[in-house]
Amino acid sequence: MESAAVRLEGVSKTFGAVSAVEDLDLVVPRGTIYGLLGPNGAGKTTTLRIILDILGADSGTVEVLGRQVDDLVRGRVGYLPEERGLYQKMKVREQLAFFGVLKGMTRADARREALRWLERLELADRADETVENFSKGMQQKVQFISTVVHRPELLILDEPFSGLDPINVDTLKEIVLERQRDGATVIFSTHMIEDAERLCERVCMIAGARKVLDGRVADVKAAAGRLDLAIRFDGDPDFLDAPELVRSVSDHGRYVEVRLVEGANPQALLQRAVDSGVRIYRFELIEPSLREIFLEKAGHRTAFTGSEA
Amino acid sequence: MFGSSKMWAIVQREFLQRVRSRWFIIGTLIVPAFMIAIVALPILFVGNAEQRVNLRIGLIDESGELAPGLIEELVGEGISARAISRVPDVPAESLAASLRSMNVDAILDLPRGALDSATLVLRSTRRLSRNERAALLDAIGRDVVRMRLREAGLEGVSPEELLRSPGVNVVELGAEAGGQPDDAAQAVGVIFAMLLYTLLIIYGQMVTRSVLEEKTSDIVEIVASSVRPWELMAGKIVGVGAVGLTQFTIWAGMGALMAVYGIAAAAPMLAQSGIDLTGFTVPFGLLVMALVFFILGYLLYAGLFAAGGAMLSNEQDVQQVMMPIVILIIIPVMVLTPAIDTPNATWVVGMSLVPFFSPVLMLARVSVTAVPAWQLALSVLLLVVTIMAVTWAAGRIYRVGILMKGKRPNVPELWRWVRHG
Repeated sequence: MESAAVRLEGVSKTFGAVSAVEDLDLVVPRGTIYGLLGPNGAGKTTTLRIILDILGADSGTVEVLGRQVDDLVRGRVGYLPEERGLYQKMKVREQLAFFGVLKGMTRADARREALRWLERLELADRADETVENFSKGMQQKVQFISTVVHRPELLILDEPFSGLDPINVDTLKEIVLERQRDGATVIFSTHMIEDAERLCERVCMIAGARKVLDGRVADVKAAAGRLDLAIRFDGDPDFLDAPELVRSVSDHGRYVEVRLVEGANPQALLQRAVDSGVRIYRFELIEPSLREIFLEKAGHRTAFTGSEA
Repeated sequence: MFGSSKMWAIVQREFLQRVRSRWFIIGTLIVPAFMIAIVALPILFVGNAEQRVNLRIGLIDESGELAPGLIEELVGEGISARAISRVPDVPAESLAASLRSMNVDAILDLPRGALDSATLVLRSTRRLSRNERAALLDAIGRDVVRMRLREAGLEGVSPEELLRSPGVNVVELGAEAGGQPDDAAQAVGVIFAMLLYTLLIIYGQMVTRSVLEEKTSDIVEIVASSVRPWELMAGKIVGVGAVGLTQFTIWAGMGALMAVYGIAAAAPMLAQSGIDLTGFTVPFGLLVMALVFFILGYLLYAGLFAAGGAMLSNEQDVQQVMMPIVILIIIPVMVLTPAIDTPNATWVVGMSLVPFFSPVLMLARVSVTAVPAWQLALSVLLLVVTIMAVTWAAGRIYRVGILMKGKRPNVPELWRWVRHG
């Protein structure tokens, strides 16, 4: 049987008195797109850094691509950190070749691959310029290339979409999906659960340094064992103020997701809505969103309401 | 373990980025220009100042016996002098004007027995330069000695001839610079010490900034996911060291050229100050020792500077973190003069064995005296052991530090970084 792309067992890490990761078990099967979810400060970045051996775990075992992290493993992993920069005074192609060599490529190979990527992302004509004159979007493209120039088998992306313009979001998704089609495993962390829900096959949710739940997205939803109501309406939301029917409401913008009190009849809520005079555009029983499930498990509603940091 | 191609990629990047930069080229040219200026300007000034002795003195000789001899001496010093019968009979406030009309700058009163009195009075229309004052005093001094010699019946004996005595060259047996003039050996010691000091400060700071730059531009995490932290640190230290070696080689070449022409040009001035550098060479053995101490000293301090950079998150704190390291570098330089003067005093021997001081002080001692082999071996051994310990600890600090943002760690926190890495 092929080993997992990443396997963590009982991993803990503290910084002084602060516990960043506590007793974390994690298995990322090969070839999946895996989401590491949680609010800011939950321990996502620390977990990724431990996987990459940038930080040492205080206890537990870490296995990446079937072995303890060594130079060979490092060369097969691509990492896009949340705080990412470039050497401002270095020429783009030279810089990408440098990152490639650090991953174990020969210089000639790295230079060739760098140029191929620059051509693909329409930066080839500026390959011999220094990065300092590039726009932010162009610098982000160069950063993407630096992550994949050595064709990694495992891609680790920390909050990859934060700070990207919509075009670059699409570019990055395309690169990531292409790598996955080629058999690579992708792990990315995000505090935007909706991103993960769209892209990931599997997720692990952590909060306050501990794992809350993990598994296939479909299984996680099925395990919740209930359906929520998605309601889109125009008018006064007062009809939702019915404690005998409604347990909680979360606003998704275009619609609200309503979690009903156990055993409550959705029809009764529809009746209330009609009686209150609001105009109903959508009234649908849906699987609960990951966000709802997470909030329920993590037990604090404020976890994801903070603005993107 | 020292051959990893990743580390060499870092060395190469560090080296090329710096050597290609505008600052490297400017710095490489400006420093020697500055050195030349420091050496050359005083020579030019001294040269010009001598020509600027342009003093005209009137002598009022009451006895009529003193003026002729003194005028001869004054003229010998480049001062134009002539006897004047008397002070113009004008009020004190207009004396200056009437002196100018007589084409003299000053008048010197020579009453009877003047040359035996404690002081003479020169009334001058302007301030005298240092050289003019010296020339005046020299002339008077020689005149007095000559008159006294005549009174003692030794007319015709020159004062210089009378006062001449041989100098003593101390040749210390077994010393590296043995057989050389003392002054030359001391100059070599001072030059080596100052070069090493400069090297540590310039390239040490370059290491700190290089580490900090990667931190503040958020590159370090990408690099840290590809190489081990100590490889990154070692790569930087070696890369910056290679820049230093290149720059020093260029400077040494320029310096050698300068020395050939410069020492010849400066010889008269140096001779005036009683320094004799003629016929001095730096022995090959000493050059090898210098290279050893330069490299070991750099490796020791570069580790400290790298760890310092890893602790920082912004430019503003650079000076604070560097201060303790710079003080360590300055201490041996501060005691350099007495240490070179008494290179075998107990405290000098002791300090020259202490790893943080030995690069500067042991090198200075080796330049001026015969250092026992065991002391040399011990200082190198201690230095190497300390380098290993410092590099190890710096690597641990580096590993934690490069990912830290915000507050600078305090000493207990640093200690925890070193322990847990």
